[in-house]
Amino acid sequence: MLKDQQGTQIMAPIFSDFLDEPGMPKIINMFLDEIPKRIAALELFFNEDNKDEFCKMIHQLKGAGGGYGFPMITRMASGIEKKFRVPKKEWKQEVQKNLEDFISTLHRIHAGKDISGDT
Amino acid sequence: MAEENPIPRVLAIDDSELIHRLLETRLQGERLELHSASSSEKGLNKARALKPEVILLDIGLDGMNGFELLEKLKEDSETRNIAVIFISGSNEPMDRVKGLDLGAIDFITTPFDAFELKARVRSALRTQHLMKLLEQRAQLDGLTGLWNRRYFDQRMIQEISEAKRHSRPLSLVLCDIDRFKRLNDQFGHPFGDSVLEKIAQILSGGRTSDIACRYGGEEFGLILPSTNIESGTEVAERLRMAIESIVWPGNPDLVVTTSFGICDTENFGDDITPETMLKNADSALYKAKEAGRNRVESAHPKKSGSKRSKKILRTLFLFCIEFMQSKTFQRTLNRWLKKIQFRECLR
Repeated sequence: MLKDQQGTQIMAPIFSDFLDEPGMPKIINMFLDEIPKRIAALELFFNEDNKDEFCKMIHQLKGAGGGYGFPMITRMASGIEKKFRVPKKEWKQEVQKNLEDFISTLHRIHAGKDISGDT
Repeated sequence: MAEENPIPRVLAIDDSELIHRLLETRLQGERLELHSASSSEKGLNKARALKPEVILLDIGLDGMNGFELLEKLKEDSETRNIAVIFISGSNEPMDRVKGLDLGAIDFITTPFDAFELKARVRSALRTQHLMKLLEQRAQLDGLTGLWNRRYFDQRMIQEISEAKRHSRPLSLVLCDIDRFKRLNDQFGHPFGDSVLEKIAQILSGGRTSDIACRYGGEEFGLILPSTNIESGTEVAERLRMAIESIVWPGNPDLVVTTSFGICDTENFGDDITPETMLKNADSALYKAKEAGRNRVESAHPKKSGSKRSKKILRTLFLFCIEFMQSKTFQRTLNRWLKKIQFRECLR
C-alpha cells in the first residue's frame, strides 16, 4: 500500500501491459475514461438485482480486460462469472465479496490513467 | 478474365464496443477492410449486403446468439461461404465443438493475443482467397480463359433479373466461327485451338461491362448489359470486322470469319427468360449462316397482334357465330348431311 501526503493509505495504480504498443494508448485511455461509468452501472445492476445485465457487463470486462493489458480484470471477472452458476436467489451473496475486490481493482486501474498518457 | 485481388472485407459482430475498438486497433496495418455490427440482426443484414470474406463473431449476442446467427448464415446461399471465426470469452470446450460443427473455421478466445489474432485472420483470408480461385477456375474455360457455359447460364439469370428490376435493356450475342471444322481439317487442331484463343481474346477485349463466354465448341456468347439491339449490333459488327482482319501467322492469306446472332430483352416484357433469349439469338445466328455467313443478324420477337387486327378477328368470329345460327346455313347443312347419308346407303 502507498500513502498520500496526509498518510492515508492509497492503493497502487495498475498500468496496462500494452502502453508501448501501436495504437493502444488511445483506446486504453478511452477504456479508463469509461471505468467510473462501468463501476456505477455494475453497482446499480447489483443493487437492483438485475442479474442479466450484471452478468453481461462482467462478461464484457472479462473478454476485454486482458486485451487492454489488464489481465487481472479478466481473472477477477472470470472468478465472478463462475459464481453465477449458483441458484438465482443466492447469486448476490456469492458475488458480493468478489465484486467489492473487483471494483477496488477497477479503481486502481482508473488511477493509472494520468500516467499512461497518449501518443 | 480473373478479377483483380481486391482488399478483403472482415466483419466483426459483437455487442461490446470494447471489443470493436480493440479489433480495430489490433488489425490496423493488415491488408483488410474492417466493418462492425453491434447486434446479431445488424450483423446478419451487413453480412448479406457486404458479403465479407471473414466474419469475427461473438457467441453471447443478445436475441439471436452467435450459434443461431451462424446457422442463418449457412442457410443462405449468399452468405454460406463466408469464413466465420468465433471470438468469445467462453472457455467451454463444448462451445468450441458446437461452433466448429456448425461450420465455423476457427475459434479465438478473449482476451486474445494480438499476433495470434492477426495470424488467424490472415490464415482465414488466405483460405478464402484460394477457395475463390478454385471457384473461379471451375467457371473458366481452360483453353480460352473466357467464362465457361456454367458461368454463362448463371450470369444470364442474374443479368435478366437485373435488367427487369432496373427496366434497362440487355442484349445477348451468339458468335460462331464459320467453317471451323474445315479449318481444323485443313490446318490441324493446334491451329484450330489458336484460332479459338485469338477470337476469344478479341471478344473479351471489348467494353468492361460485357461478359464474354465460351458457349461450347466454336460458339461464344456475349452478354451485353444495358445495351439495346441497335448498340449491340454495332458491338457485334465491330467484333466481326476485327476477327475478319486478323492476320494468321504462317497463313497470311487465310481469312477466318464469324457469324453473329443478336437479340435483346425489349419487346419481351416480364416473360423473358434465358431460354427465350438464347432461342432468339440462335435463330438470328442461323439466319446469318443461311444468308452466307460472316455477318450479324438480329432477332425481333413476334409481336402480339395489333389492336386493329384483334378487332377484325373479333368481328369475323361474331359473324361466324351469327351465320351458324341462320336458317340458310342450317338448311344447307341439312342438305349436305342428307347427301352424305344417301352416299353411305349406296355403298
